[in-house]
Amino acid sequence: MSAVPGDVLVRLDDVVKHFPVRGARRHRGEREVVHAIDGVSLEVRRGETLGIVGESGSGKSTLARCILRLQEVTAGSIVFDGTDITALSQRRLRPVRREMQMIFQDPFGALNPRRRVGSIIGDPLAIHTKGSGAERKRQVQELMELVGLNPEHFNRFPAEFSGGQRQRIGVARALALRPKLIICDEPVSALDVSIQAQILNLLVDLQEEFNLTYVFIAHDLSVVRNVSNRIAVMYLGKVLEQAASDDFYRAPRHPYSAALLSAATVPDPDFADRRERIVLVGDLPSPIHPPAGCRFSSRCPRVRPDCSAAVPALEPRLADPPQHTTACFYPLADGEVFTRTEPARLEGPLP
Amino acid sequence: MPVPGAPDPWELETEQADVIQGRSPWRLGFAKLRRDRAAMIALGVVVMIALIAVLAPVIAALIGHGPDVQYPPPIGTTIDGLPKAPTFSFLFGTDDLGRDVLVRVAYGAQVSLLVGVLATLLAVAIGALVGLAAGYFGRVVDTVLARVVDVMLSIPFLLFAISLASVVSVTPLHIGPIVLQQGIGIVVIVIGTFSWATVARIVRGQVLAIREKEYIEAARSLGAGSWRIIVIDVLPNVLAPIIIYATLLIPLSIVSEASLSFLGVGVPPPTADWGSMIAEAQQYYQEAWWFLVFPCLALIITTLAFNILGDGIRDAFDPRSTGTRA
Repeated sequence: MSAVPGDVLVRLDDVVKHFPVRGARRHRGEREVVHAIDGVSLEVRRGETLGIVGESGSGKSTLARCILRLQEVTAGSIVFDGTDITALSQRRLRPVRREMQMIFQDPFGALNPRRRVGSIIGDPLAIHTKGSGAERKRQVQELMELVGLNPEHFNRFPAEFSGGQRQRIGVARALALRPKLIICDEPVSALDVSIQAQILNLLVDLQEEFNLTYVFIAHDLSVVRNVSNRIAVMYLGKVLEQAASDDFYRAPRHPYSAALLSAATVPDPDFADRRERIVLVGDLPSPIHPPAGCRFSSRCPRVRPDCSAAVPALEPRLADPPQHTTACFYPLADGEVFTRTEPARLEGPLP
Repeated sequence: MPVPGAPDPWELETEQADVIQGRSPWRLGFAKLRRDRAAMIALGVVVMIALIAVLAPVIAALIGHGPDVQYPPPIGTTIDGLPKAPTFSFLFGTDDLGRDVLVRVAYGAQVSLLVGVLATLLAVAIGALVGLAAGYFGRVVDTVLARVVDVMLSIPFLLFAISLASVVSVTPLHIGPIVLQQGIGIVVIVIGTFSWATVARIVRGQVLAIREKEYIEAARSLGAGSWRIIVIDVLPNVLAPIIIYATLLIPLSIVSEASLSFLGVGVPPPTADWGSMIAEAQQYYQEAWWFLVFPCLALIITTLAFNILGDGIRDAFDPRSTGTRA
C-alpha cells in the first residue's frame, strides 16, 4: 500500500503521560510516577493508517487513550483537525468526539452484555443525533449490513455472537457517526488468525469507502504490515523509530525494530526456519525507573557505553529520508543483521 | 430506571423482524427460578399473604367481625375478661379486648407488607443512588459517602428508633412540609434510613468492578455523560444484586416493624399489627395460647417465605451461584 500524504489530521507534540504510583513514598523529594508516555511527537495524516507497535507496557494503548482524551495528558499538546483538544472542557469536547472513535481490543469486554446489539450500535447516534427511534433503527441496520452482520440480529445480545462478529459490532459502533479518525487498539489480537484477516479486510474496505484515518495499534508487526502506510515503534513510552511502511520492513534501523521484526510471525515456515531470530533477554524494565539515556540500552544487543549517557534524538539516520526517523546512536545499516542475544559486555565501568 | 421486562425500544418489533428472540440474562434467570421448587412454593405463600392483606376487609365481611370491634363478654371474652379459645365463630379465638384474632391477623398482614415493601423501596432507592455515585465517581465522593455509610451502620438501630418514635409520638416532627407523627410513615422512614447503608455497600462494590470494564470506556469515548453511563450501562449490571438484596430486605423490614410495634413504638393501636398483638398476648399466653400463636405463626411464615424466595432469586440471578437447589 502506498502512502497517500494528506494534510495532518492529528498532531501530538511532546506528549507526556505520567501515572502517580499509588502509595509510593516520595523519592528524592519527588513523587514516584510510571512513565507511561515520555515525550511522544507524532503526526497522523488524513486518509493514512499509522501503525503503532510495541510490546505490552510500551505505552501504545495509553497513547490511544490520550488522543481520545480518555486520559488527561501530563504535558504536551494534542491537535485534532486544527483544534487543540488538550485542555478542552468535556462539554466542548463533545462535538470533537463525533469525529474520533475507537475500536477496542477485547470484543467481549467492549460490549455491555446486558444490552442488545442494536442499542449498542445506536449508542453514538443516540448521544450525538436527534433521530426518531425508527430512523435510528434503520441507520443501525444499515451499519450492520455495512460491516457484514445480519441486520435482523439487532435484537440479540452480545453473548449470542462469535468473537469476530462482536468485533464487527464494535466496528459498526465506531463507524456510526462517520468519524474522521478511528483508533484501533489491537482490534484483532483477541481473534483467531482466520478471523483476523476478515476484520482487517473489513477495516481496509471501510477506509477506502469512507476516507477514514486509522491509528492502528498492535504488538504483532505482521498484522500491522498489511494495513499501515507508516509505522511507529514504541518502547517504554518513547517512539524509537518511525518510517514509511515499506522502508521500515525493508531496512529497520533501530535494533529494537529489528528484534521485533525477527519475532513477527511469517506465513512461510521455511523462511521462518532460515531467518535469524533476535531473541531479546529479560523483561521490559520498570517504567517507574526507566534506564538512563536510551530506553532500550538495558536490553540492546548493540549497546555501547555512551548509550546510557544521552538520549538519542528521533531523527533521520544514515541516508534516510526525513520521514524515516530513528532514535539510536548506532543504527543498523541496510541488510545488517546481528544475532547476539545478550547485551554486549561493556568496555570500562558500567554507568 | 430500567426495569427488567420494561419495553426496550429494541425489543418492540420482534415479530415483524422475525428473528430468534435473544435470551436475555433475565429470561435465563426466570427460567432457572421457575425450576426451583422451594422458591416457587415460597412465591405462592407470598402471593397468598399478599392476597390476605388485600382481601382483609372481604374476610372481615365474610366472617362478620370488624378488626376493631370489641365483642363484650361472654361473646368476646370470658366473664373474667380473659380471651376466648377458638370456636366455630371465632376460628383463631379472641383477644383480651374481645376482638377476632383471625380478622386482626389478616389486617396485620396489611401493615407488615406495606411497611416491608415501602421501607425496602426507600432503602434500595437511597442505597442504589449512593452506591452508584460512590462507586462511579470514586475519589472524594466515594470517601465522603463511605464515611456516611460507616456512620449509618454504627448507629444502634433499635435505640435510635425507640427514641425517635417516642419523641414523635409526643410532639410531631416538622421537616419542611412533611409532618412526621406516630404511624406507618415514621416506621417506614426509620427502617428505610437504617437499611440503605448495606445496599449502598453492595452496589458500590459492584460498580467498582463494572467501572473498569471496556464498555464503560467505550461509552465515554462516544461522548456519553456520566449519568447516561450510570443509568444505561452501569445500572442494568447491578440490578440483579439490588433485586436479590431487596427480596431479602423485605422480611428483615417486616421483622423490624414487628419489633418496633412489639416495643410499643411502631404502629399505634388500635391498628391491627402482628408485633403489637404479640406484645399484648404476652400477658395471657398461659391462659390463651391462640392469642400468641397465630400472630407469631403469621410473622414466621411470612418472613420464611420471603427468605426462601430471596434465596431462590439469588441462586437464579447471581452469576456466581451454580445450579439450583433441588
